[in-house]
Amino acid sequence: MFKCKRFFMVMLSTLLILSGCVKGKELEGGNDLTIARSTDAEMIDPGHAMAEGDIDVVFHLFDGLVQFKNRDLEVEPALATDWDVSEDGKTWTFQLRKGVKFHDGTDFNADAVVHSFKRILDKDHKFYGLIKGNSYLDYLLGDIIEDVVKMNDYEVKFELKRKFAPFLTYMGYYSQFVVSPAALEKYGEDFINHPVGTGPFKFKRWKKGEYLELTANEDYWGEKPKIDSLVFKVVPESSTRLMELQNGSVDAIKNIDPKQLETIEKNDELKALSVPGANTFFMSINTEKEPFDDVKVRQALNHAVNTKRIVENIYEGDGTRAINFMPPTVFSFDKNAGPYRYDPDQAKALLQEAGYEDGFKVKLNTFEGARTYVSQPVQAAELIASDLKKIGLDVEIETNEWAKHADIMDNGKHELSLTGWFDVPYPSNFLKTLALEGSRTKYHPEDLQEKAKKALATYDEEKQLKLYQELQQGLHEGAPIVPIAHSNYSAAVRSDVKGFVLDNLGVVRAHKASKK
Amino acid sequence: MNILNYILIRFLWAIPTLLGVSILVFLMIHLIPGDPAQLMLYPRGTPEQVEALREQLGLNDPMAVQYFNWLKDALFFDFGKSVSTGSSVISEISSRFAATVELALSALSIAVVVGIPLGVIAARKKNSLIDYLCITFSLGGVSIPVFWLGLMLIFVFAATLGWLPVSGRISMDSGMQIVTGFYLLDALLIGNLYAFGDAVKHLILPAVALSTIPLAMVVRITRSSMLEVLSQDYMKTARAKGIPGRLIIYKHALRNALIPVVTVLGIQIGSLMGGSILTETVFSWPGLGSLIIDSINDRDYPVIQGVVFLATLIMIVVNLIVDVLYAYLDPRIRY
Repeated sequence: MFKCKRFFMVMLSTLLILSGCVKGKELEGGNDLTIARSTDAEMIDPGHAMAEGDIDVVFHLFDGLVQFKNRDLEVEPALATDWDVSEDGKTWTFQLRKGVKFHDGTDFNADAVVHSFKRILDKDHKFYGLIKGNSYLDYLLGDIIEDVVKMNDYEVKFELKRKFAPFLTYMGYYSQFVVSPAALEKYGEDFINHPVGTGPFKFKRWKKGEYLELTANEDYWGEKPKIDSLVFKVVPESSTRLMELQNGSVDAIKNIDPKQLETIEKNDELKALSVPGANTFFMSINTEKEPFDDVKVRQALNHAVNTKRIVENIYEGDGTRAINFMPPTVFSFDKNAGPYRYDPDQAKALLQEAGYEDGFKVKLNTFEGARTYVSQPVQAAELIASDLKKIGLDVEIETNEWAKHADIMDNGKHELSLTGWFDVPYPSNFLKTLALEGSRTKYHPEDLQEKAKKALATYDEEKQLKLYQELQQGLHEGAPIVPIAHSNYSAAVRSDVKGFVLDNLGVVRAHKASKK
Repeated sequence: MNILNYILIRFLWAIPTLLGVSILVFLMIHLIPGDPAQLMLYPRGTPEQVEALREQLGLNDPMAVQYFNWLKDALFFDFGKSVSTGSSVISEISSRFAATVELALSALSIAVVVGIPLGVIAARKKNSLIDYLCITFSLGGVSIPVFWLGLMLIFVFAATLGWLPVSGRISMDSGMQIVTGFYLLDALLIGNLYAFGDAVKHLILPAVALSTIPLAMVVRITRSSMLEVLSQDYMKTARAKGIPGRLIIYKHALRNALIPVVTVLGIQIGSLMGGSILTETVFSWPGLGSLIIDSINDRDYPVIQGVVFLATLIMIVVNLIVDVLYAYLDPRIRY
């Protein structure tokens, strides 16, 4: 018995010593870029990807017909070289780039575009429902696209049900990216583990929960990547991520805790990146419930909440105060449509006018855990509650985990509730989708809805601008929410990393990144 | 009854336990608010789209039908497909499971190898300085938050001294190939010594952090149990017979003192196998703990059910092993 143990111990120590002597296969030149993120990807099929963790990856593996030139969402040619729109605004024709190949060697052509859209939108298509789950493409354009038609190998036509102003912008967004039909055919539902696109990087391997590795696409049609491989590593804890970066075991980290910015800025080897995010953190008011059906009460709430204090205490400089529903970086943002001045006396006066001079009882729902637009929702709720108490309201805070919290709001069981939104930085996504349709405010005035619809059917930019600004003004006056803040998206890189971009969706763009 | 019959009967008893747990879990996750279809589609999903997705996910069937559909496949370890990733639940679980087991066993080994001798020493030198040190040490182990300890370990041994990697399970350039999912074993199987060393280096800090609580418990239980045994008459007899002190302690006393230790270890194994969320989070260890948290947040029913089912199964098996070990340790115990 003892001999056996001793033998085992000797073996183990020998192994360990030997293993210390053997060198690993050092990667030549070390020209890899490793990014540590808080979560892993879940679904890297553009048609079904939903989370930030997915979108980071999809943007490197796939291309759209057009791509964004800059943060203002101006588009430039990508897989399409040219396009035009019919006079009635309902038919878009794209000329496709020739000589582009998918990572599996098959040709990119009109068939691929047709398959990519129809597999999601056409119930009779052979790939429809091949991959289960919801689709962002279906959300954005399911109700808009009538048909996608191949005109010839390199020309494709989109027929829309009605005029739709964001169409071209949306074509540059990840859910409209083109996938290889040959790979869909070959892998079937396992395509999600063998994603094939035309992007600057190719899929190499994915150890779920650990890392996902892409390699440079040598045959890329555009500017070829300067790095050999791009690795997304999962490091859930933010302090651990920072230590990985300080240690040099990763080149970049995402999702930085605001408290870490100071440490990063003090370190010469590191560089912090922070971009204003296309998101909004707000308190939604259930306008169907008394007394919140009275606009004066809603305006009183807006005057009562000291948003500046929340931004200072919760965001610690890593966010900006919200003026209205829209992030200031989005086209048509109207800085005059808000905010309500912090003024408890005015709030009290408004309550008195509405007949609630003695205040009332109210429940404020909040949730646990950080989300894109806020890191400490419970603390935010406490600050708001203390503000509302000052104007005589009796506030009870109810905290739930997110799924239950969302359920309460979606079923309209809340009175006041903290929530938020992040989306493609296109005005209608905030003003129509969020404020007038999906909002947890039950606020649907007809005149504003009409305006929102009209704006979507307006291709002229100046007219659009006017409509969207009127919408913002209308929403400001109706006050269905208390806008609080827009959080910044942040990342940090080692100082030898160049060309690493974080866009205002918080998505990583490492296509043109390089290491000195 | 001989031991084989006993084991067989215990296995049969596992069936109603598993069924009961699976029904409970099924009911619990379906009754808490939060509809996965609605969660996934907010806010663009029209009621029709939500309905279609519910249909696709099979959420519209009566609950009993949903349960039996699930159970039918679960008997063959097919837990369906994850709602959020579309991959099969068993493939999601299996790699994570190996990671959790590897970490849990390492932590428990540390607890046993360090904890039992410490407990014995403390008992022998009762009320001495060494005893007090051991007690303080074990009290500290139970009290220190694992989260903080983990970060401190990383800060000292990885970030500052650079001896060990910060986090993760293996370096990407190690040339590791997955055979069983247990990296230490796999590295040996493919004969890659570098990968073996690399995996060990990655394992040390999380295993140490995770071992503190079981270690502290083992020290305390071993000490008190040893004290009790040492005061027994047969110990005096053994001494009177002139058996050397070392032999008395390790052969006669320790074996009798081990039963409560085994009980504690059994419970610890059971809870560690379910994945230790905090340790896994700090060290980016891709185990079951992080998987279950993510799936609860996404209301990913199939994954939650799969993990809980598996964890229950392990708990049952571990309990059985513990009971069989009792009989080995104390021949008076017979089933």
